[in-house]
Amino acid sequence: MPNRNKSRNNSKNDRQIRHLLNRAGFGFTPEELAPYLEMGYSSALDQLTSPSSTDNSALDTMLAEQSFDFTNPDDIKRWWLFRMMFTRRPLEEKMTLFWHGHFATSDNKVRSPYAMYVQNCTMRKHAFGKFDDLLLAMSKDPAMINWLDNQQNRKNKPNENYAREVMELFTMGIGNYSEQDVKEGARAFTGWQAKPDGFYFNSGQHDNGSKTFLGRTGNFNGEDIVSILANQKATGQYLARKLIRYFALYNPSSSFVDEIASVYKKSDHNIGAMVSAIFSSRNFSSSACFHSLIKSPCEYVVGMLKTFQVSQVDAEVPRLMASMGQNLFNPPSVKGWDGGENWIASDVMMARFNFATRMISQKFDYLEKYSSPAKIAAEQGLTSAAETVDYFLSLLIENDAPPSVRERLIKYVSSDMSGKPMAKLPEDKVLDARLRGLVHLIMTLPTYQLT
Amino acid sequence: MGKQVALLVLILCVSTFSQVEVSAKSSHAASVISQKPNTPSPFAVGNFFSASAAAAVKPSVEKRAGPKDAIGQALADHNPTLEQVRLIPSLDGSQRKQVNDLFNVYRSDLKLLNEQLRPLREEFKSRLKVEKEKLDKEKQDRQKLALDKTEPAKIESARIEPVKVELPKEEDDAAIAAIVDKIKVRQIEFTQALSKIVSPAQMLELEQLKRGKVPAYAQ
Repeated sequence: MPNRNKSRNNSKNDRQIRHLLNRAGFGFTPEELAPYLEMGYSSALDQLTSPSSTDNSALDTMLAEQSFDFTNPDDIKRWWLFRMMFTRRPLEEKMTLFWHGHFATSDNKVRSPYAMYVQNCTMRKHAFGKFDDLLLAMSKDPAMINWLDNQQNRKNKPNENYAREVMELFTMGIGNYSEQDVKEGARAFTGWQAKPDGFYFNSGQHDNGSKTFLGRTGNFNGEDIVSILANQKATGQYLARKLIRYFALYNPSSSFVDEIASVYKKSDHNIGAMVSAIFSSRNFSSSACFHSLIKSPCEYVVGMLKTFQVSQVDAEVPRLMASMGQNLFNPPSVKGWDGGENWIASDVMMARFNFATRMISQKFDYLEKYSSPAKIAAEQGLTSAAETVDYFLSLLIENDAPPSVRERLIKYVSSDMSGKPMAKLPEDKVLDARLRGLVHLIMTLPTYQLT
Repeated sequence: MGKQVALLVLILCVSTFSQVEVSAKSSHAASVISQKPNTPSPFAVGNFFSASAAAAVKPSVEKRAGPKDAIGQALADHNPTLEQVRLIPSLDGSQRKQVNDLFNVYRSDLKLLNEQLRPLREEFKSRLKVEKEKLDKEKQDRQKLALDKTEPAKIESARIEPVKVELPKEEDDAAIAAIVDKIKVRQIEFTQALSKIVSPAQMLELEQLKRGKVPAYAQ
């Protein structure tokens, strides 16, 4: 756990780095935070946006020991959560989650956990690279081909699903193409099929005729369509807005979107450069950005597991996350997860509160590394109610609570079981219960739902 | 979020939290308070960016347990599924057709056997329920009699320890066991038939995919 004084001393730099790690990852443990604080914001950002420079072999070793079955739908979910929890490249996982929502593909239809797993690996491989490469890889991805019916896209009977979604959802967005472009694009993707070991070009089913697509005419195939789409100005704008909404602000100004879209163009469609530009922007470091996004269930759950160092991906976790509205590998539609306020709709909010209860109940006490609230308090040498409340407010919500809430929490901690005030911190079982209660209360505050 | 909303949630949570408090264990609390802060963390081994020292830590993934009942365990099919076999990249067209045909027959055979098994199990459960209720009633009657001071003879007979009756087990039911045996035999026959179509090297390919090997384009 962090040094108490250090933790309370939320200097501007520290606060910015915490903000960065929350957005670029899924929260952090004290030990994960420390080196980033030491290296400063700029180096931390470099480290995060160039994941290949960070050794991740410890994660690989851990994964190898888990004996996951990648043809099992439950196992691939746990595998990914495991990665989110223990990776030393948090932004890599966060970007992979972004692409999972962007190129939303569901195992409910694909019916092949292994194909979903391979798609996930492909997204991770291209997560920070040139968008053209990722788009082409997704166009040839077996799970995607099945998901959007391109297996049935044949010369004499084109299927328009992929051609439509590649423009509407993956590149330019609606309003930037015509129905004729959809038809012509579909012809270019005819014969793009999947086999067990990957992409298969069925030349007998490919339409070799001339096509006119977005004002250009030629004997286009799928590669040409991908290239044309990646070079559209609207694609840069669409991706910029979506990345900003994911990492920084729900309602960005048009100038901020333009700024990031220009990076797309200047960097030859490099996603890593766009993400880096978002995190380096004044918009990201502004107070308007701090605690302005609602945590996704992934952020909420993995962040909480990290805070309390629960070194176990419980078999129930994916199901509990699904009840919070985020069922990994099964997004609700081709549009992915709507996110935002939908994450805290009334039908899913109780699932969050229940998860918070589970986290501070005695369920994990048997785990040697589990940091129960009382254990944290003991490690920090907290001796008064105010000190304790301040520490946990800092740890969990960066002290972002109104004074009235702080006062209520202090009153709660310094009351006995019947609610009568006590002069000093209670002892033994009352203290343990009080601290678990305190943490639960903070974790169910509106601010804890924010990142 | 408004201050009022925050307070409302706070009040709501205070009122619902008592359950956690009541179940807290005092002995545990005392022990955690006395723990030293130098407890190693699974995340704290070596420098965050250093090489694989942290590999020494072995976090566990708790898996869902399989069926707990004896019949469920006996019926566990360790053969691969058709969806899994189809993933084998080196299967040729002829093998794929044979595999499909083999699975079609296997699935329909299993369906038939399971259709025979299901009513037997349901009937057994109903019988078991009746017997359990009967035993419970006898036990209750015996307890009542033991308290009846007006009839000493009955009290005496109630004191005589009843012969301990064990409820029948599903796996010992002859009709059920016969079908389960048929299913197990069919599973073994299928394993043998599959091994005549899919080579050991190809099964190894499947095993590698199950363990997470991905095609070169995804690496």
